[in-house]
Amino acid sequence: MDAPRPLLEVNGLSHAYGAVAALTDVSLTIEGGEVVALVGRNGAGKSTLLRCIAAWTPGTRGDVRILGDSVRRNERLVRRHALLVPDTPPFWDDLTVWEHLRFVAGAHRLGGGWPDRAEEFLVLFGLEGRKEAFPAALSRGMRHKLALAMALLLRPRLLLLDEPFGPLDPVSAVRLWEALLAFGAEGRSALVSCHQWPTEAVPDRCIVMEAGRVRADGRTADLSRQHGLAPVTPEGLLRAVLAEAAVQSEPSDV
Amino acid sequence: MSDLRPLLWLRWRQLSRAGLYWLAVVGYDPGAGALMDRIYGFYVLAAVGAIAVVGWAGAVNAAQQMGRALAGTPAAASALSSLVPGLVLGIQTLLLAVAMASSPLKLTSPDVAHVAGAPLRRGAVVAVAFLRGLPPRLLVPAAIGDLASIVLGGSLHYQAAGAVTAAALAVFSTALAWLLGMLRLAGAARRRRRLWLVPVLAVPLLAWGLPGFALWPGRALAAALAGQAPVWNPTLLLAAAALSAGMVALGSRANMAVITVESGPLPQMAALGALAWTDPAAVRQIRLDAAQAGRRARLALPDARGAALLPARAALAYVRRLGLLLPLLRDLTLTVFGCWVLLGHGAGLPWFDWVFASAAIPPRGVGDIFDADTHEPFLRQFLPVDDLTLLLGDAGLPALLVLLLSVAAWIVRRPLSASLWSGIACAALLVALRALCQAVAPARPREGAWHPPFIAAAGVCFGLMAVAAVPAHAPGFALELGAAMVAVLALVTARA
Repeated sequence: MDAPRPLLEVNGLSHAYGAVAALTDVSLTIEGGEVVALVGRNGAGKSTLLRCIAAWTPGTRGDVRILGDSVRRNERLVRRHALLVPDTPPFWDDLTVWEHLRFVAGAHRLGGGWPDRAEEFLVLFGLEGRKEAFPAALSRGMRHKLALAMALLLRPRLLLLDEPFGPLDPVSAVRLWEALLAFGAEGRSALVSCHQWPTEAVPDRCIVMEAGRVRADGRTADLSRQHGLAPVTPEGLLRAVLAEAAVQSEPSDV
Repeated sequence: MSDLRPLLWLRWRQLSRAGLYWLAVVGYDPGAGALMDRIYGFYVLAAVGAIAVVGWAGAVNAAQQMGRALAGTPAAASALSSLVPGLVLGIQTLLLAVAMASSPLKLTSPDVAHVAGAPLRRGAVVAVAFLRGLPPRLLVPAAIGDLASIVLGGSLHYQAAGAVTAAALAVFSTALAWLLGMLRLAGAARRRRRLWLVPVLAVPLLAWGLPGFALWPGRALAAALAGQAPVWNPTLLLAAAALSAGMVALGSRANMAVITVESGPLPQMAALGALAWTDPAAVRQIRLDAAQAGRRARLALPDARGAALLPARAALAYVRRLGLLLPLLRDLTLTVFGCWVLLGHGAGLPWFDWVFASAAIPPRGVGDIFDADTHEPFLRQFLPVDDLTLLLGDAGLPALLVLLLSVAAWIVRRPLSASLWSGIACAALLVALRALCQAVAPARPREGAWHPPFIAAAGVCFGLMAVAAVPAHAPGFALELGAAMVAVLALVTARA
């Protein structure tokens, strides 16, 4: 009997912007139900990795597979399962907040229960009073909440979030984290790249990136124990892994 | 007077900083002081001067040619002169409507911080802002008046009278518009922005009831252009001065908070600097955001599902954003022009001009919605259809509208040698080809920007059709070629 395929497989993925390497030989897998934190300094390659996984940017080498299908070979099919919310999402200028959700639900022929779920997301993010507003009338945080509501409404197998907590207020950030936990409990997965995590957020797994490479990848609790960290936070882990890498790269006195 | 001094100093600083910025944009640093920098500065100055002199000489030459042609037909010259008063009244009505719709005084970000919030007399602020806009308001109308007098008259006296009267008329009309704008901003009706309808409705009524009064400024200009008036028109100059003084007096009661709000997206656009010229789409987006932010949703998204939702959404977008109708008109013009070129059977038709225009101007009227859907991968991932279905859904309705209007134009005025059905087929092919060229071109066709992939795709398609139809005299073959290219491009789009 075949072993179940991982939800996401990234094998030896590399990408370069001209002469500058953004990703170098990145490999990782994500199973169903995992909420994974992607941490790293600015320019570490986190956003590029997310864009490559979502097939927004083709990698120069390597392969990305979602449920065993190569993104490169079957982009359209794979796109059904993965959705990326970037840090500054664009919108349809002529549709209101509610019409964005209606349009997305209608285009995907979602079942009859979608208006209740859409309403739930609007309430969750405090957008219920802005249903008739155009995106141009929303603040940056509200626009981000609308993008998150659109993505969560479709319930993709893999949700890719680039800096989702940054533009949100602390209350909404915690609510988003709770929504992601519920999302994971349904057997769906999320790969979340962010610098600022809510205090309550402890992801299942952490992937630490630096200079386009994966420096550490494992269960958050295991990695924290390994680096002697308490309490467990993605930011603390990033600092510990980078400090260790700096010590290893220092020239020997001998 | 004490308030004028800091304001004039601030304006001078802003002007000199803007000058330095634009010099830096063209690569010249006046502070560098090196010999090569000075030589480059001289070169820039000489180049700008040469362009201005050559451009002006070309315009004067064209005006002289038109003047010579008109000299032989006094009836045509007289008809042209008789249009001037109405044209002037139309421009004045437009200025009045714009000034009533939104504050004529616009503030940039530094103005909001340092002027609107400062304890300065508002009359001084209005006066300095009006003076700041005066040079272009004098120069451009004076140049147009000069050229118009060359066309209609010819002597040096005519030119001087035309230029001076046109400049005075521009100041008079602008001061009148500002006066009404300040009246609104000083009064209780400052938030009633529908007041722009008042001049649009009242001025034609005034022209009908009191033509002598309403058309007086335009008639003064027409007389100056025809050499029947002195160089200096004292009545017009006095009226312009009186209106300017009244405008400043009323401006001292204007509400700066409302002016700041009504400056709208100007601070953002001013902050773009050179980018506003190199990326007009950014300006367009800022304007669109500003317009949408304060607007209530008109109609509702129809209750449809799947791909049927796409044309419903496209129709809603065209209803909510009337600004899309102008590029749609441009697409219509190019289609009708194309039908004439391909089926006109006439030698000397400007087929090369049509090919150039079709390749250089992307079909933004038909393809704007598709463009937004495909350009942003975030939005594209929410649309579970292939590119061809998306193109049909997004561009189908506007393309149908352009096709129907093109056919109507073809029915009304078609070349005698061409059949009705060939015109319909040609219009349908041209509309489809333009939309498909946009779909296969990987770059976003934006307003005012060159996009080599679209130029290549459209240039090849329309170039081949034009060569087959005009130099090779085979319009039937051109249509067959067009149909084959539509099929190929549709296949490419579906498989993209």
